Amino acid sequence: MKRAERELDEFGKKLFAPLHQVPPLDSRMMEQEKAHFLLEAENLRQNMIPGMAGVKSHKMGHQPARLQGLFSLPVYKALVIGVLVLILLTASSFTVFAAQSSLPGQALYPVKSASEDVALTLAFSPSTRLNLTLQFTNRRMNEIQALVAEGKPVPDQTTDLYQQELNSALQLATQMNNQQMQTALSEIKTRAQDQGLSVGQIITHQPHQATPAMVHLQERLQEQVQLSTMGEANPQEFRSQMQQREHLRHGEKQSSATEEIEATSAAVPILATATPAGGEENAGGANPIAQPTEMPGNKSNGNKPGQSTSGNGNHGPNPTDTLQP
Amino acid sequence: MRNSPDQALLARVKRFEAKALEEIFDLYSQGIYRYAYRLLGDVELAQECMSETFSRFLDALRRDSGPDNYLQAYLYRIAHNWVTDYYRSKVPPDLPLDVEMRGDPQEEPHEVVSGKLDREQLRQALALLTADQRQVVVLKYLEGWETEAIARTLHKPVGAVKALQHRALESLRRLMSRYEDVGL
Repeated sequence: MKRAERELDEFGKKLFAPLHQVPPLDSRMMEQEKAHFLLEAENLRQNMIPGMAGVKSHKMGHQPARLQGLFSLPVYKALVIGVLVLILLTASSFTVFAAQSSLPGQALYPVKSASEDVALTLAFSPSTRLNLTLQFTNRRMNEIQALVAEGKPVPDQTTDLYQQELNSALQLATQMNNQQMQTALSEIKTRAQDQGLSVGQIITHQPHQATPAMVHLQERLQEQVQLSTMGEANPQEFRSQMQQREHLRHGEKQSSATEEIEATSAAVPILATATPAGGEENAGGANPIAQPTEMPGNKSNGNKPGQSTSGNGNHGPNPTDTLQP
Repeated sequence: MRNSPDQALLARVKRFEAKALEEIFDLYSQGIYRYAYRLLGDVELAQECMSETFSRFLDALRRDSGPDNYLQAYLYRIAHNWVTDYYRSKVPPDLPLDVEMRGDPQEEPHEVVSGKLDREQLRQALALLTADQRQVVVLKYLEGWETEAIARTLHKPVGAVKALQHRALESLRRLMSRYEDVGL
């Protein structure tokens, strides 16, 4: 067996020898590439600063001169009420602002969640909602990283919410026209790839934190990449896949609701006859969200739908069915 | 916690420090180009891959979702995704019939032909592997990486990487013998 391995290794070395030669890159071209890269970085850096500077200069305008003529009584009263309202608003804004850096399990975290819901409710266009949703997925990733760095467990609610947001991003993309959808899917894919890398780093370097939910999340991110890649190549197919997923999800919700009703009605007579201490069995129930991810997105080139991953991490994020002979 | 050199460099890069960004470009651009060229066999495509890799890296920094460590692995992963997308966008290669062969004055004509064919066949065989198999063998046999480093890049256990390597080489052996069978 070992000898066979060695032979195979030798074969590999010999096989790849012809590819070792690489034509050198033109140094002038390389300098241009570097200059372009540094310029792009500088533009990004500057775009971050003027945004903030613009807000400040706009707000700190010409107020003192205008205020001088306003101190007649009714105006003064209105001004006082205005200031009080402003103080109340500012205080609540500070709470909301402070909540933005909170982590799951902390007192201000519900405020953060609520503020995200409000932001989504106030956004009407699919593209604005998608941008927000993608920002929120980044937040979930940051929360997970922060919890892991502090050695705390990542609550299932966080990974569940994360997955809902991933799904919502894809659904929002289907509400756009084909061109917008492809751009959106490209963004969704890039984010999912980045976030998949981050989850992978956690799983690799902090294996004790790699809960099944985390592994499942990694698979879900891989699926996100596959689905968005498929959507970029074939918008029609993507829309129909997403529709199917939505039907499936809807069906699952309905069936789980009926199961719950059945379970409750079945539990009543048992509770009536058994000891009143029952009811804890529910806690042992399987979490439907922790089931292995289906991979329906592998149909990009008319191949059979992909098999579901086994969760052992042996499947890369890129569907390779199209590359098979 | 112990800070690795990557972590220190990345901390500066996240502040968009020009010196640090330049350092990263100088450190990894040639390697990314070589990696892409060996897979794609085309200078322009390899340059495009390299350029896009660094652009995507900046984009990740902008979104504050870049790596905290193992920068090299991160960049190769981006390049790998680019190459995979490129392969996917192309029609899957069939057995070659029209391999382009330009003369090189320093080589004998028969060497030119056989060398070109070898390289093209190998690239086409590589294109027929799964993305992960391809990355494992390329990093191992062309870039000379240790299995542990490859495992970090792919976010897989070392055992899984060895299995991928084994399967990839078996597939390549089969594919290359197929080329020989048809007399190419």
